[in-house]
Amino acid sequence: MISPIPVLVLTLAFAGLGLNLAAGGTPQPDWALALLAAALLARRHAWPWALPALLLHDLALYWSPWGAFPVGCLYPWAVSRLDAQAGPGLPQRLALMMALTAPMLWHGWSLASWLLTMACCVPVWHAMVEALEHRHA
Amino acid sequence: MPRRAWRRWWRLRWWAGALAGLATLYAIQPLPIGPRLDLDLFPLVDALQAPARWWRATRLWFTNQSRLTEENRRLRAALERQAGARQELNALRAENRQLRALLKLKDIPGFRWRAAKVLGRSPDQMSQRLLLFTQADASAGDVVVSRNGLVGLVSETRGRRAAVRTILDASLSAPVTLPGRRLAALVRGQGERLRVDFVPLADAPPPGSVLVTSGAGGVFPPGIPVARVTRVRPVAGSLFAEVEAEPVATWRRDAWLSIASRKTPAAAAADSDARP
Repeated sequence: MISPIPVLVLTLAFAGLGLNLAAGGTPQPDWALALLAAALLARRHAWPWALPALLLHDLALYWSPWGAFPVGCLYPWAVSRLDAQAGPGLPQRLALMMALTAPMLWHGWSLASWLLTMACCVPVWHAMVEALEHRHA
Repeated sequence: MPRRAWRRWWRLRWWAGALAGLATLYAIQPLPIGPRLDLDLFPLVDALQAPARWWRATRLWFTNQSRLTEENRRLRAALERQAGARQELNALRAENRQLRALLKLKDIPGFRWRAAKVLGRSPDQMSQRLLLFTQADASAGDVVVSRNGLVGLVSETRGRRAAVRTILDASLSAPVTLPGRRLAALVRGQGERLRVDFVPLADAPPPGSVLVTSGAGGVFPPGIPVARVTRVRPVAGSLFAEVEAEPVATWRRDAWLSIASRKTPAAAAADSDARP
C-alpha cells in the first residue's frame, strides 16, 4: 500500500509556497522548507521525492537552485556517515536541520523567520516519525 | 571484479554524479524557472488571499447604519476637502506646465505608462521580488516605478501577470546621475542595500543626495529617482569612492505601482506629432 505521507507533505509544502508569496513582507516561517526538511529528518529514504521538491522550492522562492537543495543532497550521505561514526542520535540531526535551513539567511530571510522555520520543522518531524512508526508497527 | 576495484569504481561513480549535479545546477541557474514557477503559483496566491478579502467584505456588510451615516458624513467632508485639494492640484498642474514650458523640459518620451496592482511579494526582508497584476499586457524588460522612484524591471510575464526583479536584486544595475552634475555611475543591488559604482572620489555626492536614472543604455527612462546615498568612503589607492545607498522607492508598502513600456517607434512618432 502506498504511503499517504509524501502526498500530504508535498500538498502542504505547495500550499506553504503560496502562503509565503501571498503574505510576503511579514515575518513567517518558510513553510515548505520546514515540511520537506522534517520529511528528510524523519526518514532519510524520503529523498527521491523530497529533494526534487526542495529544488522546486528553491527556484520558486529564491529564484536560484543554490538554496536548501545542495545541502539536502548531502543530507542522506552525511547522516549515514555520522550515524556510523557516532552512533544514531539527535545532535547530528539537529545540526543537519540547522544546515538545511541556514541558506534562508543567505537569501535575505530574517533570523526570526529562520527560527520559526526550525520551530515549525521539529514538531512536524516528531509527528512524522510517530506516524511512520505507527505504520510499521 | 575484485572488491578493491569495485569500491574504486563505485567511488568514481559518486564523484561523477556529484559533478554532473553541480554542472546541472550551474546550467539551470540563468534560466527563468523561478519567475515562471511564481507565475504558475499565481492562482494559489490569489486563493490564499481570498479569505482576507471575504473578511473585509463581510465586515463591511455588517457595519451598522449609524456607523454608515457617520462614515457618510465624514466621507462627504473628506470629499469636500478633496475637491478643494483637487482645485489646488489643477492650479499647481497648470503652474507646473508653465514652468516646464519655461524650462523647456520634456515629458519622458517613448514610454507608455499604466498601473499595476501588487499581488505578492517575496518573503525576504526587503521583498526583492514582486508579483504584479497589470491593467494591460506587460512584457519582460518593462520598467516598474512607484510614486517615489524606480522599483525594478519586469522579469517574466504571463498575460496580465508579471514577476518583477527589484533594484535590490543583484542581477540588476541602473545607470544613474546626479541632477545638475556630470556624474555617470551605476547602481547595483546588493540584497539589502544598493552600491553605487564608478563614482570618482572628487565627484562623490554627499550622503542624502538622490541619484536619478541617466537614461544611458535606453532601458530606464531618464530622470527617475533611484537611490539615496547613505555612505561615502574613500578607498586607499583607488580613483573611485565606495558609495552605499538605499532605494528611494517604497514597494514594500505600496499596493499599486506603475509600469512603463517602451513604445514602438511608430507610436512614439505619432505621439510626438500630436504633442503641441
